[in-house]
Order: sequence, then structure tokens, then C-alpha cells
Amino acid sequence: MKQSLEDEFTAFVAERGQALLRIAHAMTGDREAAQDLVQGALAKAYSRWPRIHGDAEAYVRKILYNDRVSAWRKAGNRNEVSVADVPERMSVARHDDDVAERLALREALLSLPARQRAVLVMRYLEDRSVEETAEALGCRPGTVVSQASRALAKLRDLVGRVTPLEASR
Amino acid sequence: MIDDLLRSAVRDLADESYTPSGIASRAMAQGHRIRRNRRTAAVAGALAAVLAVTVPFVVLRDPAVRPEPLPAATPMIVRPTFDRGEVFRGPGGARLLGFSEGVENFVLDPENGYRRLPTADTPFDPSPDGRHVAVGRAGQESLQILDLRTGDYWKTPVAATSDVTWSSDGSRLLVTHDDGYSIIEPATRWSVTHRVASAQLPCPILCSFTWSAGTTEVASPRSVSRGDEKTEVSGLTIFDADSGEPLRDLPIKGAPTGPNPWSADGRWVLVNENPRSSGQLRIVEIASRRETARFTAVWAGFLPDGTVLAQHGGDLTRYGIDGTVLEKMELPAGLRGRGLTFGF
Repeated sequence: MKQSLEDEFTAFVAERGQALLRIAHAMTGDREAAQDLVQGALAKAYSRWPRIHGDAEAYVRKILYNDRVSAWRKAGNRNEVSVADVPERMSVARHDDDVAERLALREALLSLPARQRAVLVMRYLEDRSVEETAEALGCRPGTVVSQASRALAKLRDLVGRVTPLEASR
Repeated sequence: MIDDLLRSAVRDLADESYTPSGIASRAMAQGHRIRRNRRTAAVAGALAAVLAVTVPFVVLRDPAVRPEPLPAATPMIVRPTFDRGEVFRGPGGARLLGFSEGVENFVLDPENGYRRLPTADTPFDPSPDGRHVAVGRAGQESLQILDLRTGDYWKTPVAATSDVTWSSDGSRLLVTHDDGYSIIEPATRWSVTHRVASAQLPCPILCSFTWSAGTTEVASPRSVSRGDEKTEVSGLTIFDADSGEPLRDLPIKGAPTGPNPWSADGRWVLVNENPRSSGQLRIVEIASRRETARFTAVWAGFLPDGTVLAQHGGDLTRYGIDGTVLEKMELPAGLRGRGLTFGF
């Protein structure tokens, strides 16, 4: 019985691990932090595997988001930036508007507070609805809308300083 | 335009991930440790329980707390139309105060229907009386109050960092920060911010403050640790809105949820038992802690007559305090999938 649960868990990680790491990497912007986040969430899932294995992915995703936001809160960071290998602004000087824009947006994304980034990852990477995002993050749908709206406004502001978004397209 | 760019950027970021070898086995080893810790905690808990029954303080469980099954009511389903030029009303007469469509936001102008807010504004919530909207502006850290009658903006000294909730009369705004809350009074242009020490208020996931009695008190859930996961609400702490002083604790095991979670007479509260799963809401009588109804909704709030308005998917439902379905409305196509704000 125990062996079959372990096999099931291992198969789940083999099948869904990459998708979970993608979410974690989009949330943290750092490979090691993403790996730690996913491993912690999987460990919690494994500790409850007999009860949650029917809906394990949803459980792990919720833990991923909540652990990331909670860690940010506990650290007392309002503007935490977990940036690994962030491209330097010098690369903008390559006069490639498209590349510069994407790099600027990447950098701006990583400068957002964890909660706003979590909302954007759910909405833009996972294509989740406002309601689904609210449920996963344990907040009101109105909060999701306002956080997304604020994040977009901030991104426009940050990216616009490097390259005017509308003008370059 | 920015939607597409952002989608690409988020996906590019996600694509930079890689799958390390051995993550499953490391997670299993860590999971075993969590299980062991949980068992240890359970044994300690059992011992504590045995000791507890030997002391002369016995907490009697009120048999009335058992939730009663919901009556199988099948009211007629209303299917109204939506015209942006007119006020839209939900069940119980609740006015739709605003809605969002992507990055565009609309608020109710009683004279002219719903009008689009400037794109520079990020609206947080229209006031229930339809007079003001709390907004954020790109590049500005402070919360601003837009007077819908005059078009004037008041730049408050409060940081626009988080959730906001208007009092039911629309006179005061409660702003939740990560470490406390602010109260804003647009009419007098007064505001105050209180920082609450994390030791004083261990919040579940995110601290969330709600009005708890008119405009003078606010409430926030406390969490309790279970193993390594903070998942359960152990009770509510009530604060004096103006002074920030904790007044009392309420043994309500759930987080007040939704835009207006407390009934006008202060007898009932809408709570979400597990803050990590916001779909299951309960109506609880505060004095007895008796649960009278349980239903699924993305948000719910008390109407002035003591009934509850809730949205689930594309439906709006008005519930009685015992969970009886009093009215049901199917949202018109123009409002489905939008972020809706109703006046309560």
C-alpha cells in the first residue's frame, strides 16, 4: 500500500513537476528559490497524500502561491526583488526595441510585490479567472482585480521609463 | 497591447525553469519529517486533552451548533438585461456600483449610468452610497479618493497597498496593509494608520481587516499553527477603529469574508472557515457561535434587511439567514466574468 502511494506520488511529480516549477519560477525569478518552493509544497502534499492525491495538483498550486506570499509577508518585504541573472540595463543599448521591451518588462515583473506577481502569474501564465485566482489566494475577487490593475499600472510606469510601450509597437 | 507583452514575459520567465533530478525523493523525505512532527503534535494534543478533562472547567458543546440542512427551495430564476445607461439592480434591490472589464473600470453615475474611469486610475472600490471611489494612480504611492459628484481627487496620506472596504454607510474607508490598517474619512479629510505587531495578530496568509460594528470597530482573524502549516482561524480580534487598541476576542473560527460580512444588527457574520479555500461560506450567529447556513460563493455580503447576497459563477442569489434561497438571478452576458461591486 505504502509503496503504491510512493509510486503514485513519484509519477505525479514526474508528470506535473515541470508545470509546477514553471509557476514557481515565474513567481520567484530564481531557479533555486523556485526549486525550494516546489519541493516544500510537494513535501506538504506528500505528508497528506492519502487524503489529497485525488486533487493533488490543485493542493500543491495553492500551497505554492500561499507559501510564496506568506514568506514575503513574514520577511516584512514590501518591495522584495528576487532577481537572479537579471539582464543589465546595458543590454538595452543594443537598440533592439523588442528585446529591450521584453527585458524591461521582465525586470519590472520581478520588482513587483509577491502578491501582485502571484495574481499576474495566475491570470497570465495559468489563464485563471478572477474568481479562481481569488479562491487560490484566499481573497476577494475585487482584490484580485485591484491588485492586477495596480500591477499593470506599475508595469506600464516602470517599462515606460525604459522604452515607451505603445510607441514601439 | 500590454496584455500580450505581459503574457509573453510571464511565459518567458516560466520557461527559464528546469526540472532538477531527485526532487520527488527529497520531497518524500521532507514529507516524512512533516508527518512525524504532526504525529508528535497529535500525541501532545491528546495528552493535553486528557489533562483538560481532569480540570473542573468543562466547555459544554451547544447542540444547536449542528448545521441544519438547507431547505430545498426553488425560487424563480430572474434573467435581467444590462444597459450601461441605467442602474443595474441585483436581488434585494442591491445596486451595482461598479464593474471592471480587463483593465477598464466603470462606476455608477446615478444620473448617467456607468461611466469609464480614467485609465490612470486603478479603482479599489466605490462607496456604498455611490459618492466616492477609492483609487490608486500609476506612479503614486498614496491612495486617492475621487468624489464622483465633483470630480475632485483627494490625495490621502495613506499608502495604497492593499485591500479596502467601505463602511456600510459609505462614510469611512478601511484600508488593510500588510502590518495593520488605516481609516479614512473623506467628508472631513481625516485619516489614521495603525500598525499591528505580528505577535499581536498572527494572520492567516494575509491579514484582512473588516468593519465589525458600524464605523467604530474593525475585526481581523487570528490564525493557529497546525504542524508547519497555518491553515486554521482560531478566532477574531476586534480593534477600536480610531485608536487601534485591541478591544476583545471573539471565538469565531472563521475569517469574515466578502464586502459586507457583518449584519447591520451585529448578530450575524459571514465567515470562510479556511482562508485557503474561499468558496465555502458560513453564516454564524455571533453570540452562540451557531452556524445557520453554509453555501458556496465567490463573495457574499449582508444586505440592510439582514438577508445575504452572494455570487456563484454567473448567478446572484439572495439567502435568508437560515440558508433559504429567497431570490436567484442569472447575470446578463454583459456582466458575466466581470469584477462586480454591489452596494449593500
